[in-house]
Amino acid sequence: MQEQTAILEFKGVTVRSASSQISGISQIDFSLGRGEIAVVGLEEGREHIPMAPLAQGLLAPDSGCVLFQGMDWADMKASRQSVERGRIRRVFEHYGWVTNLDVMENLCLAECHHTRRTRDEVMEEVRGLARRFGLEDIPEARPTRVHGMVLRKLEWVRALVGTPSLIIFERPLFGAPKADAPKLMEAVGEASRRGVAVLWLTEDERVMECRNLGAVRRFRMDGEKLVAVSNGRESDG
Amino acid sequence: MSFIASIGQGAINLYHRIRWIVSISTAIMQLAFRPSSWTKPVRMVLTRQIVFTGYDAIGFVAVVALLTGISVVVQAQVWMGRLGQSELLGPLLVTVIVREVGPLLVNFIVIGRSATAMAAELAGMKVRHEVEVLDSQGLDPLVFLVMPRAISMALSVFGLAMLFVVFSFGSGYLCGAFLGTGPGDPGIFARSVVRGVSSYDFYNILAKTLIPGLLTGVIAANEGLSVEGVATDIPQAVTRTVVRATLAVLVVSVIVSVLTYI
Repeated sequence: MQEQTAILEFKGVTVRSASSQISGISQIDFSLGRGEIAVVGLEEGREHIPMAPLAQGLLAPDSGCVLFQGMDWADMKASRQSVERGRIRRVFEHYGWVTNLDVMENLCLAECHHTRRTRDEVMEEVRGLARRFGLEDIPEARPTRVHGMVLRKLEWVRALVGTPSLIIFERPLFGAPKADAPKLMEAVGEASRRGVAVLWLTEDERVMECRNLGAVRRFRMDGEKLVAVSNGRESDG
Repeated sequence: MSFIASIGQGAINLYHRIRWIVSISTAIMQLAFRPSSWTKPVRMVLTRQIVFTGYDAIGFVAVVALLTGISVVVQAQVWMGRLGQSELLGPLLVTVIVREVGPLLVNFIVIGRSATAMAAELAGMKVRHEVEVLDSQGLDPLVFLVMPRAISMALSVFGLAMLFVVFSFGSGYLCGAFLGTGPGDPGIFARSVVRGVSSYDFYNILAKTLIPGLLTGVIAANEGLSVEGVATDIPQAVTRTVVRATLAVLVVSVIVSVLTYI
């Protein structure tokens, strides 16, 4: 039987720390297949781990390589990289909005740019997902005029719209109501069952311990190393 | 560094800068002719930029054109009449308004009004990491941010220059008729202007609006996106945009003028 290509693969990836806000990582190896979820536990207050920009080919590793759907980001032309990034959704650790577009335009942007779906169709899906997280209406305003908690939940919506191959969550529960965490985990579990690969960086122990997510592989950052966690034991990953 | 070495270094830097701007402009033109570049969000950016740079500027350009028409056209009518060369009024006005003053003034208005705003907007986006947000969603900044803005700037400068010519000739004629310095009959004035227009003038105004408009857009975008994460660098980016875009407009204008006459 032919082996399925991994959606995301880190091979011996090392990045030296570029600033006091960004942590370096050392010799990270892991792969993420279709429908798999990798949860990476972070210590509270830990500086930014650049796994998302690496996974999206936005940051080149100092050594090693990152493959997306079997292709090394370093070998892709810029136009190809953009197309491939269109298959990835991300919830940002920092502010993840374009301020000169209104909230709905932000939510529909990637889907309208990369697919032939009409804006009305995408908006309908966005509204449905928003209702799932308790948002009855999408604010008709620029993101700077919208409450941070609402924006955080709308980032979840944006990540789940359409049919991405990979979703990256960078501490997505930061700034969100605790009561909504199970709703997000449930939605992520459903996405994973549809074949979406998920990379989830979190400080939240509930995510690390959640058993309803599906095919989950758990890791922890130990300094600059990624350590696999299984049945309470930790081993180099 | 010695004086001569610093001149040499300055020349090398200028060469690299020009090469960079030309290569971005070329890439933008290639992208613009590729239908797949014009997705719905990119078309939306183009439309909004045309509204801001072109449509919203019509009032101001009209006022400048009216005032220019009054001062230039009326003076030309008076002096050509005194010199007994009224038949040269049309060619003279075409040379001054269509070939030189119109495109130059419109380019300067667009630099002051829109290129500065564009540089500040893009620099702000860079500082707030919004360019990374776009890039991470697969929206190439060159396709989504730079191309539609530069193209809209070129089209807007062309459209505004045509309006400028019409408004300035119209105001000049009306003022001349009011003061009794003009030919009186609008038909004579119009025929005189039309006689002065050659096919070269068409290429001239195209070259003096589309090329500088595109370069202004590229320079503004380049300066804006060159800001590296510090908000205090935004005003400098805006200043550099004004200086470099003004120089680019003047250089292109001189080259096209020289090519028109040789």
